[in-house]
Amino acid sequence: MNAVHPKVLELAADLTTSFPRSPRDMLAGYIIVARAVDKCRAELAGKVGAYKFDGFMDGLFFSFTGITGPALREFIATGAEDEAVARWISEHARKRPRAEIVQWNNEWRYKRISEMPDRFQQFMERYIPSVIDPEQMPKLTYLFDVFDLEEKKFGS
Amino acid sequence: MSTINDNVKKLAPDLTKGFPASPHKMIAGYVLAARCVDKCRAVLAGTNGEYHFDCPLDNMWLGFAGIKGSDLKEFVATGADNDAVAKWVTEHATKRPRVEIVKWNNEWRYKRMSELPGELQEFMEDYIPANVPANAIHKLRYFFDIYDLEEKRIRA
Repeated sequence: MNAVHPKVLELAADLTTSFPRSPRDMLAGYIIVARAVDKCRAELAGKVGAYKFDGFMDGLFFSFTGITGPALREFIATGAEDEAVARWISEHARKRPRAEIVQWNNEWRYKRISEMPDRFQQFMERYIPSVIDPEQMPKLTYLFDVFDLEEKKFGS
Repeated sequence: MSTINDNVKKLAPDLTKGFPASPHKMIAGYVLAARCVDKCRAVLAGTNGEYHFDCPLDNMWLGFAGIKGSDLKEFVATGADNDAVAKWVTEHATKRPRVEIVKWNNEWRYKRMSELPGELQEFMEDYIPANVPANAIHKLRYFFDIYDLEEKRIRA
């Protein structure tokens, strides 16, 4: 087994006791990926808990940018900090006009659960009541709210 | 130089210290109109600060209503109050069934950033973090919320 880079151990959040960043947090001008990076580092450091790197949500970023999960993991494993990861992403992502990236960001920021594929909606129908208090439900407008509510990132 | 009607001076908000009406506030049954009229009076009174009248936001309403900014300004300059402006707007706007106006109001009340033209989305990608407090980002559900958050009608 390869040794974990000390910098990865230093940077990795312990996702058994805390949460990754919000899917709304940005890195290199993209949403979702800051959260993916947190999960990746935690996975490398053996502290990922119930989270999963390169899952459905991370896949949205990967398919948009053309970056693969294993390639990002390999770079993060070098101990790169966020700034270096952002540079690497900018270098390796499919080149697009900024307007396209902004529109993709907004597409997902403002995605309603009713606009998701049927299977995903079916999954969420059970998942949401299992992780979100009923009194918080009126705050749930968009898909990302599920994660932000579950992880107590919502303001009052 | 033409003098400013006393009633305009009396009615004009000082936008160097305060804010125009919310885009939600209506005149003559249209959203956006009250804000547009506030800015118009402030421009006439020289108290508009950084606000502009006949801007792209005003033109969303003016365009739908088929009213020219210069014609509205000429009428507002007579010192007309909001009731008189409402009457004038009703007389001069493109005649439509009420349901069309209600649907247009709702289109804009519930417009998501992802549904705006690409150029405006790109502009807002920088404008929002510069003007909406980070801790209020979950309260930004729809396009109009940007203004209500920035102008403190929605509390962070």
